[in-house]
Amino acid sequence: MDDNNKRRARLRSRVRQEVQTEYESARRLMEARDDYDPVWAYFLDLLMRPMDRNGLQAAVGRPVVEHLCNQAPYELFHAMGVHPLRMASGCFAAGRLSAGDFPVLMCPMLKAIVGMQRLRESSQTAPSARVVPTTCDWVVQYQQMTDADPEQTFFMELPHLRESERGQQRWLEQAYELVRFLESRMGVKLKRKALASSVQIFMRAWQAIGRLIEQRRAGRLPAVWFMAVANSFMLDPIEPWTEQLQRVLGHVDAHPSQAAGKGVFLAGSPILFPNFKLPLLIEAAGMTVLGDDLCTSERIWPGAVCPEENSFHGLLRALAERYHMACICPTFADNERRINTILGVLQRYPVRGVVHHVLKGCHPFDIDSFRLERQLKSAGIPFLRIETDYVEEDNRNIATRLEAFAEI
Amino acid sequence: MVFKLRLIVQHLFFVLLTYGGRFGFHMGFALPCFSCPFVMGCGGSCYLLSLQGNWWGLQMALANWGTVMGLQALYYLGLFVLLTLALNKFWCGWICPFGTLQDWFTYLRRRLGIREAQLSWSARDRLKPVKYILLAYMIVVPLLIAHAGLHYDFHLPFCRSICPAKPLMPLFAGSTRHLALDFTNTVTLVFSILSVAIAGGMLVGMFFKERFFCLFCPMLVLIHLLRKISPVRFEKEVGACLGCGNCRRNCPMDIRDVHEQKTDKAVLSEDCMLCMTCTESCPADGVLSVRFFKWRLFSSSRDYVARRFIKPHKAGSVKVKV
Repeated sequence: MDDNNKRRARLRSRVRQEVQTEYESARRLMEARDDYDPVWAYFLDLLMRPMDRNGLQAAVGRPVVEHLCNQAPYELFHAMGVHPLRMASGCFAAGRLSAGDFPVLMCPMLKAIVGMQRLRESSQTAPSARVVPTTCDWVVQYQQMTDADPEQTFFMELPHLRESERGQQRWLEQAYELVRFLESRMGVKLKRKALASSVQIFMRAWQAIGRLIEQRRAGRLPAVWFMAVANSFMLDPIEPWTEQLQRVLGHVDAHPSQAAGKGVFLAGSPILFPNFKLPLLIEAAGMTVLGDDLCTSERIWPGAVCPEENSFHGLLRALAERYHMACICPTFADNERRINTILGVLQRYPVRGVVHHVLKGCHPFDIDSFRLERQLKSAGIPFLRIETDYVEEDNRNIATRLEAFAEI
Repeated sequence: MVFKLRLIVQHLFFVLLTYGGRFGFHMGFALPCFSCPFVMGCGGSCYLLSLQGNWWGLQMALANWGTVMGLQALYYLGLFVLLTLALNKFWCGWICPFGTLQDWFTYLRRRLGIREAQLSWSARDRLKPVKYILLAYMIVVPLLIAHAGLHYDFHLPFCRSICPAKPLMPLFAGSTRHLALDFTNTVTLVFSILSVAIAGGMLVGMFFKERFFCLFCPMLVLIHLLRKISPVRFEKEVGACLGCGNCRRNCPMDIRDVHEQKTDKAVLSEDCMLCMTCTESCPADGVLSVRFFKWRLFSSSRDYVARRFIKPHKAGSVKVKV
């Protein structure tokens, strides 16, 4: 082993330790909260799983296929007998492992994803395949960043115009392509009945999470717990996860907590465990997040799969459109309806303002935040844009700005 | 559940309008739906017959203004307007017996798991004027008979040459005579050939495309003319729509307007038949609603979608081969 490799191995070993510490301290922080209850333990256990891929693989009991975005329909994977696992990480330490190889102003979540992949030892189970919907500029570089096996990687070409006929047709074609890719990789044929069953299973989860969203919006559930539940999605098979979610609903019904402070809406770039920095700072500033449009939280379940046509094509079309058209990611060119989600929550719930989270290097959300700010301010709604990175150093600064915002 | 209630209403009216006359039930000659008068013992007659008829049609009202015959034509027109104002497009989605027949074909296709034929947006847009052409055809030809010397053999042009209900609906009363070709003269022969050919084509179309005939139905145009003064309203809370597209995809008529509307509240479009399928599949609370005057008849909601589209869970019912 040459010096370079030795140095890399040492760095990997040190970062692995730091990642472990980061996850565990984040978990301890959650467990030390006054509102902690054993009902949350299941979800906290799941949040620790990304560090242990073998354990995760054993728990889900199916071949794992990683994907980079919610745009790839979960139901399709499930119906094919594989487990979809979203490649996403909020780990600060993992990002440092890959930071040297990428531009400074690059999406920290992707740096963390690459870092986590590099940490994975050869003894750990590799995914059976990877699916990458081409959302933002960083994501389309995934192949170059990771040297992933092209045979194992499927890029879903995401049309950035959703409301055009061409865009919808292309996305449906991509859904068919994804089916063919998975069929060839896994050696199974996707059946209509299996797809219909998977749609039902995920709709039950959608129904349960909808009730939890309502509880959160009514101020009966702190945002960090909601995010813990949302972040743990697909870190376990969907059915036991939904059952545990039902337990949580029972718990929240029986022990509703009272919203502390002013309600705010959290918009913008994804927030992932263990990086709960912003929601915790918002809470510390005397505000409570009553709603969000984060793709790692409420926006995992936009719209609903409502197929009137139960042919294979009808099901696939309903699925494709649910993931494509209901999404309000600013990577889309026709995204003027994004504000509707925010205004809808503002009208129905005691929400006083919008906090917009921008991860450094997350250009789509960065650009969209200015438009959103103009629209909301013209409607007299306070708006605060927080740009941050996977670092702790700006915590004081953010806290001060949030405290000032809470005074408005 | 709205769709179950609709099924009950549709079938009740199918029976009433197809067989009602045999039991002394008749809703008159100005119904805003395809209740075919060629069905022996029917329980009501489609207004399009009155509109084209030599004795009750528009041409009669114009030619005999102020006389009893002219007033009778106006009476049927007035009755049609009243009935249309009262229920507007509910006549199409909930009452029309020919619409119910089309829904049976769709049900059969879905049971067989056969994919629905999908029209491109441009093809769908190109079909829109057809119903206006048919409406013009059924108004102009009787006027030509009355005032320009066109031969009487051209009477009831729409019913006798185009409408697929004429050869098909009498089958439910046991009559096959409207499937026969009429060799009386060239006009009657051409009319009867067209009628049977169109009916055959419609049967195929109705099987592969939901509410296929409604894409061409001139009654939709007539009803739509009165939408602004009808108490029936179909509205959208445009500021709360998430754009998921369920309304567009599930619409039997492939209407895009409801999904695309971003400014106006009124979304009752020309082709809408108020079947409420879009409202049933909209997961956003209160975004789509159907009203009668100020009363809300039905409104979209996440809870309703969950009840409508999620089947009761059976433990161990899902088996996926790994």
